Amino acid sequence: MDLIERYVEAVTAKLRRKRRGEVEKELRAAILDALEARGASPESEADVAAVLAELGEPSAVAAEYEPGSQYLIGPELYPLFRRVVGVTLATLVAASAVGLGVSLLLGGLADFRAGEFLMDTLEFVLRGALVAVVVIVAVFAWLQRSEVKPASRARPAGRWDPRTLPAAQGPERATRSDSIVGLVATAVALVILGGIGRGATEALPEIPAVMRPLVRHAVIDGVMLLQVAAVLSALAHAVALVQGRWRPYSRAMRLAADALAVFVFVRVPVEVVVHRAALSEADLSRNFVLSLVLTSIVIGAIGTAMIVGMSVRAWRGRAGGRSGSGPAPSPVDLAAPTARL
Amino acid sequence: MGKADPRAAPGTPPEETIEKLTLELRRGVIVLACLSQLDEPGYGYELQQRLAARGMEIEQGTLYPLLRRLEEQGLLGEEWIVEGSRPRKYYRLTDAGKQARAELERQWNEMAAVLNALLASENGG
Repeated sequence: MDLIERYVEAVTAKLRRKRRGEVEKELRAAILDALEARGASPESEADVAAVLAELGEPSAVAAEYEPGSQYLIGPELYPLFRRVVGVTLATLVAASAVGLGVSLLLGGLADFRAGEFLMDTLEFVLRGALVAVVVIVAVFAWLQRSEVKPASRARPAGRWDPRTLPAAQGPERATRSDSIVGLVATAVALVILGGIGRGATEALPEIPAVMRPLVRHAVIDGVMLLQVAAVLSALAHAVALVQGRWRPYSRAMRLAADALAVFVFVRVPVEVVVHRAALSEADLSRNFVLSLVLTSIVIGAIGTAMIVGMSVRAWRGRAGGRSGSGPAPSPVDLAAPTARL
Repeated sequence: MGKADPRAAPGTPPEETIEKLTLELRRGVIVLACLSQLDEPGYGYELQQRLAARGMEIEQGTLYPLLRRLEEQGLLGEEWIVEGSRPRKYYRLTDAGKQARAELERQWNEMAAVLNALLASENGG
């Protein structure tokens, strides 16, 4: 039965969540029917393997289930895509680590400003990761459009061995599209936050002196904390993407990132309220201070709602991994694979 | 995307091209084949065996997703029935499915007649 579960999961992991529950039931019933017709036992791995080999490779079967939707990268190319992204990101991180080591050796420790250098390295890695993922997605989208199949699809029928399927991971499996979207979104957020942080720091001398502590605490510090949250989130998604599942530490990283972001958004209106007395005493109009307070509350509420919403959605996806309900199809699910007979 | 067989005569389509064309030819027919057998309820494996017994071999990995698509299009209705200790998903034609089958059957007969005539004249028949 374990081999059946591994096969069912290998197929349904490549489908949109709303389809999974029903297809899982269908496939199990179909496999048991085929076993029964052969007079074979579901407990015999050899018999199950023979039936599964006849049913076809999981990526090809998954592609048959999604002909109506259009894939940017279809189920057949996706395993290769994931490997390429994993190798590229690992190379990028390794190259940055080597660069860090070389800089330490050449520059010595005297002039080395660890915080600044680490932030620069991190920005380089994330910018590089963003560009790399975009380029890889573009290449694979072109391959998908050109109907190029990975080498395994060219294998003669019957040569595929279902016993090589990976172990079933259950509801902890990472949704490929969520991981990619999460990775790209956090990388983009980091770049935008970097711009906001730099802009606020440069504009600080021109801001009325009475508002500077507020800008420093609510904006500059807030942006820095959000950058840390974005890095944590990107790391969590990258780990889940490469490993194909959410493990306790990657989940903890994601939760910590969400918690930190919520803290920042809650802190924004609190900071404004704390500084309100000083602002009111200064030469600032009452309406301006009031609108500042309201704006900060709105920003804080929207940011908190967004982060909490995404976190709850991710948790529900985990809890309902086998139920078939879940998030909408991702941008990866934009093009149709070719049907086969 | 495969390389052409170097032993093949010039102009001869490679095996892969013929295979692709054959698949395309069968792709449309398979829908009518399934619809033709589902006046009475049937489940996936049973339907595959029924079609195979009548000379229409369809891979399971193709048939199950196809039945699901036809169901989503409203041409088939489905019902899970527990037999013994496990459930089976039974399909049967809906009214829309019956209408579609009748129209596809008419189209098939017309096309078959035209093509047979074309092929017969080409072969000097």
